[in-house]
Amino acid sequence: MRLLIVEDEAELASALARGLRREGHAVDTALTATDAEFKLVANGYDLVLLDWNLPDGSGIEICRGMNSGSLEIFSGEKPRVLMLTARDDVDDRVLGLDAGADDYLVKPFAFVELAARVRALLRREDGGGPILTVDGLSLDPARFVVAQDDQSLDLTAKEFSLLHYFMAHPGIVLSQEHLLEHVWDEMADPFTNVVRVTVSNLRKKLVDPTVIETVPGRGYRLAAS
Amino acid sequence: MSFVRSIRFRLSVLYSSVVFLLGGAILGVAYYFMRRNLRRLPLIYDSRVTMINGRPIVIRDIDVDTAQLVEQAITQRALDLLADYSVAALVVLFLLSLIVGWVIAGRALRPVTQMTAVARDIQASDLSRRISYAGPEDEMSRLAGTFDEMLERLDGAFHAQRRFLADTSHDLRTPLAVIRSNIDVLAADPDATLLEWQEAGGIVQRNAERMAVMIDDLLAAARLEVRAAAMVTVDLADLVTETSVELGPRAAEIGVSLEARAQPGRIEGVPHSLRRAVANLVDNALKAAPANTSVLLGSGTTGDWAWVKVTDAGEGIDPAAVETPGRKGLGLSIVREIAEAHGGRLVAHRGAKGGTAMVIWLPTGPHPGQLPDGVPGSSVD
Repeated sequence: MRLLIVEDEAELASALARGLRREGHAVDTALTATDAEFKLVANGYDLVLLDWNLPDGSGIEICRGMNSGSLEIFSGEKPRVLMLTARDDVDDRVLGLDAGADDYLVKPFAFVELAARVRALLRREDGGGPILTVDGLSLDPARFVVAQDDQSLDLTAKEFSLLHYFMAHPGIVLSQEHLLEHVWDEMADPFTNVVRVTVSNLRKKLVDPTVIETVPGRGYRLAAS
Repeated sequence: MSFVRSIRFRLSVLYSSVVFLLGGAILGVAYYFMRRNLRRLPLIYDSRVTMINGRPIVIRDIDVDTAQLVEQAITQRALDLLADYSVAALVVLFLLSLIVGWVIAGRALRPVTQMTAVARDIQASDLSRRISYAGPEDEMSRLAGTFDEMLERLDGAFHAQRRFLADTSHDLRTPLAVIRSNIDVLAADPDATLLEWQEAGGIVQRNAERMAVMIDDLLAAARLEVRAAAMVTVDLADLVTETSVELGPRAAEIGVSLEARAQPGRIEGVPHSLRRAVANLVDNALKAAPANTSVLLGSGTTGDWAWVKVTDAGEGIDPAAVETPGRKGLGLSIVREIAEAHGGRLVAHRGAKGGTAMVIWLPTGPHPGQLPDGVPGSSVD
């Protein structure tokens, strides 16, 4: 899943990015509202972690912009929004949630709580429970455990994220560009065949590699009965 | 019987008792004189001619003794009747005055009942309600007005305190969040390298320092209240000169020139706090100013107001942000507190070509006129 952290404290943004990458997410950061809006237009995100007070604007305005459509988000799919702010007034929380945020976390917070909320928000997107299951596959994002036909699989972080994304969208054809957009961060080079290589590595580790089908000319699909 | 312990009850009992006593006294006096004069000056006292209703009557025709007996009986009867009716009238008067007194006292005391209800409704968290008494100009309206003024002051103080607390907690939470997240993320990662831990150490150090500065500012704000009584005459020009000498070297370090243009501005104030306020403004300006620009520090007097102005060539802040909690450092919050404690104001102006002019306005006398519009001393720039 691809995340954008909008936070003007660079030292906070980089720590969160590091932690969430370890959780298996592709993470970009933006230190200003302008940068955040640019990235939201240019890249497809599944979740945005949004600070309220930014040096050149406010997270609330970005949130409203995404909802009203005045900010033209990449491919029109509005990402989930988790407000991350030091404002803890009940009024502020209500204002944040009413502006379109899906969740609200007050600084300072424990990183494990943030990670759990991120998982929960992405789960809402999957529409499933804490453990994803598709046919014989089961994947637990919180514990980094994945198994096929009750046989545990040993995947790299990227392979795990890729399989997670496939399992969150079962039966849907996902193009290489789409996968690059949602599983890799902005550091990935769009002109490499990194997606093809990772898919092929993932297939080799699966007990039944045929669950990931190649749809010629269009991309890949996780077979779902 | 709770109504017995009300002013309304006591007032109406007092009214009717007074009416009863006065009525009783008047009737009693009337009865006494009537009786005395009827007995002392009878119509029939011997067998001469007596005028009754303008008609002469000669008593000789009847026996004088008998006539006197009859007159006495008539007199006595009239007196008895008068006494009976007087007592009955007094009782009715007493009851009527009790009812009228109850009604009048209720009307007069109605605003008090209203005020009690409003005062009971007002909670510490919501001081926005007012009595807004709409009666004629009298004791009650003055009482309600005084009460409203007191609520206004309480409300203002409460809001200032809340705004200050919101600023403070926001500003303390941010470095705390930086420290906590860095440590949390590294502690959860067994592969974290020594270099990463060393970097985190630096981050913790810097943010702990930031928090220490904020706590100093908080203490300064608390001290301001304690020392508010010790007002002396201060010339803002001296303050401006001192600050520019003090902070000049630090400005030079970051490639910013600090220029002072001190004109006299004499006010009554707390020198220590005012120095801190000016230093905070210059501090903010230096942070905002790009390299190779200058920060202007000026002072002067416009009408009833003396001012200190700090201008930078930075990105410029939203003037409204000065009023919004959390949109600025605790430093500015302290400046505003200090300005307001001196009866003045902190106003931000965004320059036409970017940059910010922060102005502290301070009254030169006890009853200053309207605060001047715009940026003071612009012709000097």
